[in-house]
Amino acid sequence: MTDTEDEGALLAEMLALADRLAMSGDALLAGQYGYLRARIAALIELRSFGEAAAA
Amino acid sequence: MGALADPFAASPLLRRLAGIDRAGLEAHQLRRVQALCERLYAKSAFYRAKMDAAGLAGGTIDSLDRFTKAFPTSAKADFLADQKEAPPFGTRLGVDRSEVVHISMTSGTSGQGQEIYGRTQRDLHMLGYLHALPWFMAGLRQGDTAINCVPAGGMTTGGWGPGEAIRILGATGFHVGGATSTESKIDLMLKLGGIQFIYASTNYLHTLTEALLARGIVPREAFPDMHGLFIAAEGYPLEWAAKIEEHWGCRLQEGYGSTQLNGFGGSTAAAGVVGQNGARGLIRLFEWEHLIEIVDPVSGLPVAPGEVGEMVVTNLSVEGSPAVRFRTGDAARLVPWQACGGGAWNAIECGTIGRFDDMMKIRGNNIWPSMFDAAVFAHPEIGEYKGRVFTRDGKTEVEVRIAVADHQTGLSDEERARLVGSVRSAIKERSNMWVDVLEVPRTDFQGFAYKARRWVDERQDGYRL
Repeated sequence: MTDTEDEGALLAEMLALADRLAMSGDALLAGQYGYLRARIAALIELRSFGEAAAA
Repeated sequence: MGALADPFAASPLLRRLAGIDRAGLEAHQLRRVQALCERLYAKSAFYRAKMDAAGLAGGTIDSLDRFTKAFPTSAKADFLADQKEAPPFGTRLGVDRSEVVHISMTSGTSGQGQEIYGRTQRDLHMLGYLHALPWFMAGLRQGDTAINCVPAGGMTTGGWGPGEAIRILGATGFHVGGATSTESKIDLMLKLGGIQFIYASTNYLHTLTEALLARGIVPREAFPDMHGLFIAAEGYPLEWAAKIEEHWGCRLQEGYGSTQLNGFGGSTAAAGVVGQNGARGLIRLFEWEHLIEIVDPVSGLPVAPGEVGEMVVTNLSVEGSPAVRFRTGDAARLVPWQACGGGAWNAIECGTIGRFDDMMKIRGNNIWPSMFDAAVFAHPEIGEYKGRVFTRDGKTEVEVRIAVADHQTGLSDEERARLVGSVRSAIKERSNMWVDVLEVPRTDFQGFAYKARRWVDERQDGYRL
């Protein structure tokens, strides 16, 4: 995939999915879902410059 | 020397970062500054008070100019006072306490105290990225083996970034720092064979290289796949850097980073520390991740191009314990983007980052002469002392020469020997370093009255290969 907007859109979708996972009632998994969500949020954050530049 | 694959060709994101113009970069910085200030106004009592005092009600920032002129700076002492008032994190946190998953501290060797930083999950991911970014540009790639000579883990920020960075780049990390002797490290490296990248302090890269040469090993022959050496923390002569590149057969890169920046704030990218025409290279600043001002330490105004100023830093992404307009005390020479031969990123000269106070980096620790003052002058028999930092057999050594006070000349030889031992122990207690202590005649220090002259740093003289 080379299209920047596609990557950005995918990450946004993944963040929404991770938010749903983070609502899990499983205390063992909650921290790991939080980790996954933060990974996606960090990717969105560090790509934000590229997104702005490409816009 | 093998040419380094162009990192910008391998990453569309990096190409966009390199291709942006200055107006676009500053517009991006402003958006992030605005988001940061709004977030902190809502969540951080420490920064809300600063913004209220500066007339930035609601955390509203309308321009970078207003931000850098109005937002008050902070320094280590401010953070320590805040922590003392509201332990352990002070009132700086930009998130709820429950979102803190990691604690980092500064070393505490200033004698002033240790700053405490709470990190969120996202902060830790960004910490890894802010190490991975310069190392990718320095040549580290998926499938490479990277030797990390900096002690991993522990309480400092620098212990945690490297492991995460190597992992997220898909390279193979081998964290040999701290736990093993240099000879053991060399044995392990030879056993591993294919090694492509080394991260080390300036001083340790020197030690490692010297130890290899002493064993009759030519680094570029023993490690022909090496394509990146990356250093941080201490200055060095340019001739030494050229020799290192010759011995290893690859480029030497340098980064500037700190706890306050949550990783690196800039690096030589792929250009190396030896610039065009043999001049010092440039550390290009990652200005889309940080706002880095270089100011006159007295007036607080931006320095002119080419001048040395104090780095005042703001990381734009940290959630847990942010550092906004933090006065680092680090001294660097500003090279504005227009003078960098392309790109919109400002730069600082590499190999010459110093301090505006009298802090010294010794064996990776921040050491202030005041620590030695306290240890030495706890002994009333001592009239004066002088310290020297130098390189011996590839290692940083510290020598402290003490002189008995004029009114204590009646001390016996036995008492003088006991005094030397006691001073040595007192220094160890405060600095965690064993140093050489010797007694010299008081006349050696005649006309020697200023604290700043107590210490000399001769380490660069020891960088000879």
